[in-house]
Amino acid sequence: MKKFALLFYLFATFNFFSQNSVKGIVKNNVTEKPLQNVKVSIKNLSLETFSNTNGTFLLQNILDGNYLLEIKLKGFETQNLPLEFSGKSIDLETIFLFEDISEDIDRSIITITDDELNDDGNSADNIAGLLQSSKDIYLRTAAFEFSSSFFKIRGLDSENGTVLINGMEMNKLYDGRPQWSNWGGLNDATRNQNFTSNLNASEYTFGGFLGTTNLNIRASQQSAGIKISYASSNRSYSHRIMATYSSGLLANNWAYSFSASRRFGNEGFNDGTLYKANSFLASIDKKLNDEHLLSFSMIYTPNSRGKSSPNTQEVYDLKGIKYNEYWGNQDGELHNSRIKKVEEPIFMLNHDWNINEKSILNTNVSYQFGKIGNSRVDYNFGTNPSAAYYQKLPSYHVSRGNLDEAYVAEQEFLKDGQINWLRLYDANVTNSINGIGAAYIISQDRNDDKLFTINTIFSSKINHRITFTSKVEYKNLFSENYALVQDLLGGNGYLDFDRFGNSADEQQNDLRNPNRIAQVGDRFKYNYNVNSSVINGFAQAQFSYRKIDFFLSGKISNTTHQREGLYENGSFPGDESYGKSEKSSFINFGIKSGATYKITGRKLLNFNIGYRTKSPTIKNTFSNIRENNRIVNNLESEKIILTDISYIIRNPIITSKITGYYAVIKDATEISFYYADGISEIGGDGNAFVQEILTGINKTHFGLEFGLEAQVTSAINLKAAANIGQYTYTSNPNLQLTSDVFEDINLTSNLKNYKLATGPQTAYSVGFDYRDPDFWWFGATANFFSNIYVDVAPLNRTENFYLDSDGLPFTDYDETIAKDLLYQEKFNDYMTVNLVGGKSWKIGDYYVGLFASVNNLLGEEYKTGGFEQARNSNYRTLLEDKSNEKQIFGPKYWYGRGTTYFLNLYLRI
Amino acid sequence: MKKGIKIVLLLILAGFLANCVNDDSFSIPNIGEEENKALTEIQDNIENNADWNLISISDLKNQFTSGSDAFQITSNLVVKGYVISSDQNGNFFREFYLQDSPSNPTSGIKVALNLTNSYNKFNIGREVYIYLKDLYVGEVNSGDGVTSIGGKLDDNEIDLISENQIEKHLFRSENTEIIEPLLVTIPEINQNYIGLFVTIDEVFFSENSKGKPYVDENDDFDTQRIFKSCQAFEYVDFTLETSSFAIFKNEILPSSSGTISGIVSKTFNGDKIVLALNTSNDVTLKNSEICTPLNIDDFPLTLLNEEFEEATRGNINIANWTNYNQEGSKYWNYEEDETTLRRFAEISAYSFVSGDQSIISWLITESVNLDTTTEEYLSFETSNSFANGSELEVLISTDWNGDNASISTSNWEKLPAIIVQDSEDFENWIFSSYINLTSYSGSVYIAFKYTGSSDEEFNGTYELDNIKIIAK
Repeated sequence: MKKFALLFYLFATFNFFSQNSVKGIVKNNVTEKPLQNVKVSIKNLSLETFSNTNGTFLLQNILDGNYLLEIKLKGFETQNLPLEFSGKSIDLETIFLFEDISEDIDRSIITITDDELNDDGNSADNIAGLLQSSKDIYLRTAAFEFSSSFFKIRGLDSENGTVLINGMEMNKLYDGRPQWSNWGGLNDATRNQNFTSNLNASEYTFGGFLGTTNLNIRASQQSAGIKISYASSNRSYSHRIMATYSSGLLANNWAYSFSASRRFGNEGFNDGTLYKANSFLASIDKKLNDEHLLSFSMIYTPNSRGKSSPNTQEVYDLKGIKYNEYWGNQDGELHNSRIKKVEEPIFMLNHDWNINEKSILNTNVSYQFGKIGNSRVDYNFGTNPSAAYYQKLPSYHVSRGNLDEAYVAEQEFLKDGQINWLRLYDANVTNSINGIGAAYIISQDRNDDKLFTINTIFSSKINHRITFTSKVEYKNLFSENYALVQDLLGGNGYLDFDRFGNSADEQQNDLRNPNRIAQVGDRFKYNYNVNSSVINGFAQAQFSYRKIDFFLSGKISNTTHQREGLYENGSFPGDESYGKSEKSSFINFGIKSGATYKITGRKLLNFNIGYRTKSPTIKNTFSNIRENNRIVNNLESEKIILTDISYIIRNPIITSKITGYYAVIKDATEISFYYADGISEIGGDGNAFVQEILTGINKTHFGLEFGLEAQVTSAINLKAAANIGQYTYTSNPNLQLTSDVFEDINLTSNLKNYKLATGPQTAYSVGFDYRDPDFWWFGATANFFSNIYVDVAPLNRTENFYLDSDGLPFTDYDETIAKDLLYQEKFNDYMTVNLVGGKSWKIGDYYVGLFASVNNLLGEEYKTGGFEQARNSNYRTLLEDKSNEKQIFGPKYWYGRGTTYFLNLYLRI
Repeated sequence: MKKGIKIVLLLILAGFLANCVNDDSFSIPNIGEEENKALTEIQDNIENNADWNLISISDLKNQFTSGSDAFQITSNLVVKGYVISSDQNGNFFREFYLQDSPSNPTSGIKVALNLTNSYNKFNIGREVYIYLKDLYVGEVNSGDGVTSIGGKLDDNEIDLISENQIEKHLFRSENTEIIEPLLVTIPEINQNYIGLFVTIDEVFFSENSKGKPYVDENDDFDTQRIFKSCQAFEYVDFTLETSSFAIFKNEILPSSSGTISGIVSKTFNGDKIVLALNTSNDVTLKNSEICTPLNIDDFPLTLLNEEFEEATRGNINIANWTNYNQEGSKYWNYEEDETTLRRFAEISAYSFVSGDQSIISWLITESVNLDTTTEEYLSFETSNSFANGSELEVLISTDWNGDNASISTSNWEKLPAIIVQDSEDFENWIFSSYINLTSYSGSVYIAFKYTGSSDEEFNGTYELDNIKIIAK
């Protein structure tokens, strides 16, 4: 439609003048009223102007040549008009701008980020939130069509993406990842986003190599009006109501913006996954004068969400892909044992100072505090309450030859298969009778952060070719971490005790307060603070010339982390666990550069290269942070080098981009916790709860990205996108095992050439949009995914795998069988079909819109990820396990959702 | 725009009021309702239904002989008991013990079940009813001497009661009683005490055990540690066995003296009776003074000494002694071992094909005056042959008048002597231990009371020799 309208006016109204200039009137296609403040620019020439109150604009002094005229206004679709100037002026007359329907689509994609499936990391790491404001067809496809498959751009985790609010970095120091739920449910108020992909230059920060998104929530930047919407879905929540009011900049130079929403549901696609989230945003701006603008903003989004479990194939086969072991019925209500609660309000004060026409100084202060709590059942004095616990599943009984019991177990699991809360209460009440503490409690792993950030961003247009940006930032984090008794489930106190401790001392979590009975609200198990500070500086110069644009950015930072143990752990007495740890301090730098060469106005060549070192996050700095002060041995900064080259074609019909990329990551660190069976060096069955620290992980990511959009008719737009990537380990990292019960073991894990578990490494999408002039539209896509791999267990790839406790290989070790056992599982390829559609009406002064989407229309069942359980860590135990009819400790998987819908109805006043 | 603000505020309010997702505010549910209902039904059946019966633990145990095949209960029998063991600390695994009474118990039984952390369901002191039909009685390890209730058959042994069977057969009442440990001395403890919660006073760990942990790090399964007490003129030993899965396994055995309470059980293969702890808190050794046995040289006086050296066989007939058959027609008689030529007293219902329904035979010493001495100890030896359900008891009376007719109406108190066990080899003579009589005064009579019948399960033979009371 847009091209249709455009071409019509283009040809109908061509006039010829002797000077090179272009003029026109921009109007809203629905109201036919003039639009002011529309930015009109000729991209290659750094020429720009804004439409006045009558909607008219004029650009002059244009050199001869072919150019792309960009007409841009927030909330409307950007129009790009190819124009040829040869000594004549062009009058475009009326140009209609169309309401941006991607706004609707954004509302649906937010539900993907709302999911926040990241149950303790793993592969459920979603980057959709980062990409949603991108206009690039490939990135949009990745956000809209691929993200529910946990597809990752270039195989990079979300910690490589930087999220900013008003120029303040929001990524957590703990793991480097953005905590999406801190601003979730504020879709209208955070619509004002600016995304720069991958290595491209951001106006605010150096940024991660996945890209940078800045959310501008300043009240004065929100378009005035009221928006109210209601959404219904069966993905994560059932209902969402949202209301936003923005005043725009009022005559008295104040601007207000308020937004509130509530999302809730007892159950999403997965069983027992409750959702409860309230969100508020308030932003008040005062324009002091033409130079100074003060802005105060507050975001508060308390939310809680029931998690769902990864399961073995045996469990999925019996219970289906919605099955979740974490919940049970209590008095007819769903009671999920694992609830993530996030409540971290953000306050910020921003000062924008337009020093002169060319320079802006932007100074920001923010303070964020609050808590993240992850609950679960703690059962020091009870039995694993999960109905999917391996000893309760048929496979366990079959492996022991008890077929009748296997049958009974299967029937029981099919019939119920959830947590029996009544039994947990009964156990605790029973214990109370004998004066013993609770056997089961709900505990909460708490992470209470106080983060203070101050930064100042200076940006100056030195001349029309050179823009200079710099930033200095200081961050200080004080983080309290502990387990909390949340619910005693009818018991009378909970003994703070480590059941795996070898001696009375080692059984103490806090030697300074032994055998303590914890009550509701008390801390127990572990208790420590982390103090971190980051100072960083960033400088960037962007150059724009007729044939070439290029930039150069650099950053330098100093990061320190220090743990302070508040408990003296019985296994690590004295200052090994109590008091302050050594300070881990890293100086890091980054440098990146890129250039765009304009072959013609319609063909561009873009090249970028970046190198940076990344300080270890808090998570990767301490080897067993809950129990002791130890810092990972030989801890190093991670190094990333990324380079890409793109060829871009833009013409009235086709927009296309093809990119080749190559990334090398070196010296990455990963820490994980699990219960292992068969650790040779400790003899016996070799059972222990261990921390596994991988250092010196090298990875290589390379591949091709492709995006194509073709406006074949005025109403039909065809889309295609693809990523063909390969992400592999390229080193054999050091593997250190630590535990309460044995001395550290150092091994080498032969991970080289194993594939990374980063979701589908290959993905294709084809689709179309049909837009009817009568304000309705729909689209459909088919998406294909392949090369999805299981996350391999590093311990099984060490010599521990084939060595017996005497240090010699197992007598029955067979290399061909071993190879088979260690083969990396590749998941099935799959295809999903997604539909979207919408319609809008204008009723008086109101706009009413309807948006609907159906994901995975065909109900394809597919694995999005999974990990090998490291439980059987040697040849014998793994062979024994895999020889069972059904593997007891087989990999645990995540399945994608079946068919889901999202429906949104909105009203704009 | 004022209107807009109002709408927004209204929506915020509505959002908060619509608090319809419950994430963590759950109250304590009603517990045990179904179980109580099931138990009430069982109790009603026992009361009103002729083919439903409550059986005592000892009667149930009597239906099984150690080493024989486990058997299935096919009738509507229900056994009731009180839980005395706890797996909370890992020293018991997939089992618990029931005894027949919270205090002064007489019999205990093991319940083998596929349930870990059973302590938080079948807690110590809990009154538990087991509906036995379709369950099995036998041994987990054939011949181990620990009669148990199981859920299925595994060759001639029992296997665990499955989780599913637990729901259908094990019912808790609402009562949890306080278990009063049975005070015993080491020499007393025998097969009959298996499955009882006992306490032993004035004990201490042996030289070889004290200062060591409960479990030796080299032991895969369990460790036996010896503790001792003083019994008259000697030290007596007992074995404490602790599992390597006990959470207190690395605690150090103290060197002082005090009290130990635990469950009487047996080693895995059944070759020894041992004590097993619920918790190391039941070892309260706080007294730094350790007992020393009496010196026998300090007891020069002999108040009674009978060695049954009479050369001729026949009914025992000693001056001032009483040989009396209260029921049946069998007397104590002189006997000589043909191989060793040892002479002794003997009683048996075996060779006596009388058809007696019941045999109760007394051998009572002459009157012994305890008033002239300050401290007195009784000892004797016993042996058996064809051991079975017949029984021998040692009793004392201070009020019997010497008249046969009043034997059954006088007060006879059981003495804590060691009597030969049915499992003992027939060739062995078992010393009674020294039984302290100091607390008795006046003229007393010591009686050896045989109870049996001509029934082949109750006609065993007992031999008795060297009855002696020394004093100072």
